[in-house]
Amino acid sequence: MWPFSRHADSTLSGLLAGTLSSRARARVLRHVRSCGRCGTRYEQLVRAERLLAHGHGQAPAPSELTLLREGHLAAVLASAEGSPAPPPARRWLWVGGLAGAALAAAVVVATAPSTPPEWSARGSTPPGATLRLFCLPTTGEALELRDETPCPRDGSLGFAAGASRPGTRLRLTLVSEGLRTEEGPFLIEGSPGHEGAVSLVVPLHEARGAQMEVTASFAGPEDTGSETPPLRRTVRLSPSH
Amino acid sequence: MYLACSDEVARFLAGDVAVQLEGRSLRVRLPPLDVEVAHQETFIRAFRPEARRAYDGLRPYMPYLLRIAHSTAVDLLRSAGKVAREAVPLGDAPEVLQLPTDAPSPEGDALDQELRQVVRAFLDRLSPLEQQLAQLRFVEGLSQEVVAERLAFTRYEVRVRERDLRDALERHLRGTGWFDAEAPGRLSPSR
Repeated sequence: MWPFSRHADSTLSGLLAGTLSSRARARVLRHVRSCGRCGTRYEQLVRAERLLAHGHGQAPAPSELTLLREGHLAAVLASAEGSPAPPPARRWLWVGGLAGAALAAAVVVATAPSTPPEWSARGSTPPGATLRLFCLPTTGEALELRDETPCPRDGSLGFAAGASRPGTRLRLTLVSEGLRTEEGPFLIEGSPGHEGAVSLVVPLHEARGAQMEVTASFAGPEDTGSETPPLRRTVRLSPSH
Repeated sequence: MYLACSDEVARFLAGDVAVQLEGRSLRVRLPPLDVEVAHQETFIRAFRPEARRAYDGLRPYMPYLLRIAHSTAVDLLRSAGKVAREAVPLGDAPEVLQLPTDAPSPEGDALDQELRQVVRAFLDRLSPLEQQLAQLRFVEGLSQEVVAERLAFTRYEVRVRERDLRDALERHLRGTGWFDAEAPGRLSPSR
């Protein structure tokens, strides 16, 4: 991405000036979010421009407003059409009856062919890797968790993941009140749009509190670290059925 | 609708976010990178079919949208551990939306004080023409086309001079050591 430097120094001012193409803007922003050095520089530049514009740092500068307005339009429109992620469950492959009868557990893979959109909500489908969460209730069908959809506390969580680089491995960290567990690594067998099941089912009965945070980290096959930023999702928990 | 509301939501998110924790109200500011994330997420949430159905079309839309923005910001702060999970958004209280969100708070002012001096020193070094350009583009936010007209430049000249100005600001910040300082209030992990 950066022929001579792995940092985005030369493009930060272009980012704020609005002179980058939409594709380049998305790429630079993605880098800035995952790189501490460039993130700090970007934020200091933004603060400086805010101070130039208003004399204080609590209101966005005109350039920042333009960047936000134009940079997010496509992603917002895609979400308004209800299409940031492929539709759930055309065909279901049942991966495991893991934990006995109580979990007639049933995960998970939606194999609906679909091309991942170029624009998507950050935090839900970073380019290069996708994670889908599924609620596995004790009775009834598995349900893909999107947005605010809750999962009953007597159910379980299932996962499907895809990565554009073969050999990518997934680690999952699940945190709720009184519970923290790390799972993996799991070899990802699917690609974005064709996610494969992760061999993991997490019963939710031990989780307390109203929600569980799920963090997915992706590591390349050489285990040299990944350019894909960690992906975080919040799962709302509802009372048992 | 998005274009009409985008700037207002961005201003709201860049101001202090009010949360309530154990009966006390706190105000926390999102760093610019998190403002960027929260801005996109706000509209994505607002334009989802279920959110569109939940809006009755009778209430003014902007307060409804700002409540979603507020809730999104608090979710972000919670997930970053910046506020406790028990903290609740004050966005449900109508008076919160009436609080000034773009006026400098004492805390924010203290954070910005040092950088303000750096920026002032930068402005003092500029030629009158560069100062004029900075005023029109950075402060007033006029388009390059309008600025070109006002300064009797071509649009290309404005673009080049603006780029030079931004590069000079970047060099100035680097020269004063600002790029080596951690941005205050940074929420996201660096890697």
